[in-house]
Amino acid sequence: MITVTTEKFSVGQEYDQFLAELKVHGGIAIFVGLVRDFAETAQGLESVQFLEIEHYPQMAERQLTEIADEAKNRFELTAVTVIHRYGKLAAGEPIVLVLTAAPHRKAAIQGCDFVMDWLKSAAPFWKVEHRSNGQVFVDSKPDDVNMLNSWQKQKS
Amino acid sequence: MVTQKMKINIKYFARARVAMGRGGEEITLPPEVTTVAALVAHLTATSAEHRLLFATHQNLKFAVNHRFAEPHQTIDSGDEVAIFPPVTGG
Repeated sequence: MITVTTEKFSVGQEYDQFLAELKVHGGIAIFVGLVRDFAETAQGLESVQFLEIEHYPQMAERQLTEIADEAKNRFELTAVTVIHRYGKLAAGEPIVLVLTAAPHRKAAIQGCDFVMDWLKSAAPFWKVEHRSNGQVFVDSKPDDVNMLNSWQKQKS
Repeated sequence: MVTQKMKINIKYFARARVAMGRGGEEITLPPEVTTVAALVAHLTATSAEHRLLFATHQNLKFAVNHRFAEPHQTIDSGDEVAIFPPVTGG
């Protein structure tokens, strides 16, 4: 299931629901991304009060759905849930949740990692950090692209 | 036969939205503009705002109808073309 929302989610509730709908049991991997309360800048660490996440609604839903489907096929997952928030999020709040289920541990964990790597470079969300000295758009990291290349290599 | 005017919706996000001062607009294109690359060339040639946007924002990404698009991707009347910097979600 794919959800793009401003609402705060409860990992416990989402896990319970995910488990209740599972038809094949084995292992579940969970990743929760939180709003970092600091930013690494050229001047050192700066505190972040809150994040504002902008998104492209139709494309975000479509991309997340495709990423989840690809993970399902590739790792033979039995279920995938992705929740991504947008809007104003305070430091420490959850931004993203990925739940993956598979008959075995490795597939669940790899599937979860795959969804996060793809999401970071292909889901249309943009972060603005509100720091004590102003607001800045977060720059994308070259690492995100490198991670994707490593998944592509593994596939071939 | 009546020649249909080619109209597309452009959307701007993040730094591109801030640079343009708006989230999007409808624009009418000459019939020879049929790809993303041609659209960029057309906008660069005809609009100082877009010229500045493309000159000051390297690495902009494009999506046509909610899918990432390469420069050679074709565009058609009624399409939604989005322009944005690399994404930073997760």
